[in-house]
Amino acid sequence: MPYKLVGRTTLFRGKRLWEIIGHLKNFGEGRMVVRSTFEKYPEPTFYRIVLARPEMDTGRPHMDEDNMKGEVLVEKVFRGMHYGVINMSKVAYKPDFRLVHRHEEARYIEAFRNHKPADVDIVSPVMDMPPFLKMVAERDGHAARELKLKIGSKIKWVPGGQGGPELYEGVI
Amino acid sequence: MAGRALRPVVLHRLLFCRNAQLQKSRHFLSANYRCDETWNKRLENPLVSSINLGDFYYDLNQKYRHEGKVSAIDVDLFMNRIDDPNAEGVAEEVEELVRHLRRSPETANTLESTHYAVVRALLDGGHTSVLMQLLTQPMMYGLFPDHLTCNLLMHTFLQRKEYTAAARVASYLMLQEDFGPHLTQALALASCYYYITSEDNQPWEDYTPKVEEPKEEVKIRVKFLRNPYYDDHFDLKEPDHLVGKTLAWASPLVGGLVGRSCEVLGWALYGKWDELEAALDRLRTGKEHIAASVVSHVKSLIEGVEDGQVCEQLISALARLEAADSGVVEQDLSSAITQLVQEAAKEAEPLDIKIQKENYHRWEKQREEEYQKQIEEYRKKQLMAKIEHKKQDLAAREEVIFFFDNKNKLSLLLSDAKKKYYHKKSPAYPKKKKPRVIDEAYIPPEV
Repeated sequence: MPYKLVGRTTLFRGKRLWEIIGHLKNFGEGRMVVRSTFEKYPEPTFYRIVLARPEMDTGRPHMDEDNMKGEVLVEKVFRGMHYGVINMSKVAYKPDFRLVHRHEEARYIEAFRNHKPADVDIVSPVMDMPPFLKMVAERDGHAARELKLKIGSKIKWVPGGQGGPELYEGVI
Repeated sequence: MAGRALRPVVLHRLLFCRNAQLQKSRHFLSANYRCDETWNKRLENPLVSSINLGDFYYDLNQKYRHEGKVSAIDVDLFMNRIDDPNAEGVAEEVEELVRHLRRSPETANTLESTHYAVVRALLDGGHTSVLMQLLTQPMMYGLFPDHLTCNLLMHTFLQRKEYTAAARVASYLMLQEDFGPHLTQALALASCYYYITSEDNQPWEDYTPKVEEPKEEVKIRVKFLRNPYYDDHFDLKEPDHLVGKTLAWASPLVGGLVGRSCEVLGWALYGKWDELEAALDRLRTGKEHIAASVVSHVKSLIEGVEDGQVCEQLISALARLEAADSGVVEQDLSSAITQLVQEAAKEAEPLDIKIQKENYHRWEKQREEEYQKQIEEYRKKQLMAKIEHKKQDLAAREEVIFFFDNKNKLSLLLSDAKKKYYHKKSPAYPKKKKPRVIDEAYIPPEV
C-alpha cells in the first residue's frame, strides 16, 4: 500500500516552481510561468524568469518536501500592471505554477500590450456623518457636519455606491 | 527490359533492395563532425592531464562525505579527463558524480563543458541506458546537451540502429521546446519516424526511481496536501505520446510533404483528436497532400479510439481528405526524410564543426579561469584562518605580558567574590515522602 499523506487541503493546482525550473535548461531563463490562482483575473498575470538558483534541497522522506528552497528573480506582470524584476524566492515553493509553452506566450504578451488600466475613481474626501452622530454633534454644539475620509489604497466606499448615505434617507 | 513491364516479384525485389540500401546509408554526418582530434587536445592541458582518475574519484568521494558537496569545477575536470570510456566502472562513477553535483546548490555553477564531456564519455563507451537515464531525469542528473551535441547523439544512435535512444533524444528536445537549427529539427523528425516505423525497438524504459512501499498503509502527517495535477508535458510517460508530441511539434518547423504527414501522424499517436481533425481539415482546405503510409497508420490508430462519435468524426475527416483532389500521394516517406536530413547536414556541417572547435577553446579557457578562482578562494580561506590563529596567539601572549599592568582592570572584570546563595524554594508539587524504612537489624549504640 502506498504512503498515505494526511493534511490540510489547498486550492493550488500545479507544480512547485523549482520542479518546473529543474526540468529546463539554464534553469528556465527567459521562460514564462503563470500561477493558477491568478488565472481567475481577467487581466493578464504572468511571470518571466530572469534568474534562478535552486538549492536542490531534499526534505524528510515520503513527505513531499523536496525542492522548496532557492533564489529566483522574475519579471512580474500582475493584473495588467508591470512590477519589474522582483525576488520571488519566498513563494516559489507553492505547488501552483504552470509552464507556458512558447507558442502560447504570444497570447499573454498581446493581452498585456492591449491592456488598458481601468479609469481611476475620484472619491470625495469628505462624507456625511452618520445621522445619530450628526444629531449628537448638533446638540453638543460642534460645527462639523462632515467626516474627513482617510483615503488609502484600500478605499472601496464610493459615495452614492452601495451602502451610501441614501441608506439613512428619511430616517430622521 | 525497358519495354517490358516488370513482373511483381522483380519489382518487389528491386524496391526492397533499394529500401535496404537506403537503410544502410544512414550517413547523415561525416566522421569530422565528432572533431575527435580537437576534442582529444583537451588532455594536453596540464590541468586535465595531471589528474589521476582513480585518486581524483576517491578524493571527490571523501570531500562529499566530509562536506556534503562536490564543486562544479572538480566534476568538470573529472569528466574531461576520461580518455577511456570503455574502462570498467566509468558509467557508475560518472552517474554518481553528476548526481552529487546536481542535488547540491553547486549545480548553479555547472560548466558548459561538463554536459558535453559526460555525453561523449557515455556515448563512446556504449553506455546507452545510463545516458538515457541521465537525459530523462533532469531533476536528478541535470544533463542538458546543446544542439550540436544532440545532432551527434541522434546521428550515432541512428547509425547504430538504436531508434529508441534516438527518439528519446528527440523527445528531450521537445520537452525543452527548442528544436534548434534545421539539421537538429530534421534529425529529430527522422529519429521519431524511424522509431515508429521499425518493428523491434529496444524497450522504452522508465528510469524514475521506484519508491519502496510498505505492505500496510502508513499514514504520514504533512502540513498541506497537493492536489493531483497532470501537466501533459514533463509528466508524459507513454512512448507513443512523447514521440507523437515530438512529431507534432517539430513537423511545422520542417514543413513540406514530410512536415505535413508527420504532423498528422504525431497528433494521432499523441491521442489529441481535436488537433488531428484540425490538421486534416487544414490540409483539405489548403489542398496539400500527405503520404499514403501515414494515412493507413493513422486509420489504424483512429480505429482504436473508444469514443464512437469521435471515431466516426475522425474517419469521416480522413475520408474527406482522401476523396479530395490532391489528398493522398504514394510516396516513400522514409526516403524523403533521409533526403531532407542529408541536405540539411550538407548545409550545416562545416559551420557546425567550426562552432564546435571554438566551443572547445572557450571551454578550456573557462575551465582555467574557474580553477584559478577556486585556488584564489582556497588561498584566501587559508590566509584568513592563519590570521585568526595568529591573532588569538598574540592576544594570549599579550594577556600574560601585561598582566600586572592591567591587574586592576582584570580584577574589576572578575565577578563579585561572594556568591549569593538562595535557599531552596519548596517545590510546587512536593515530593512524595517515602515511608520510613525500619531496619530490623539495627541495634542502637550503647552510650
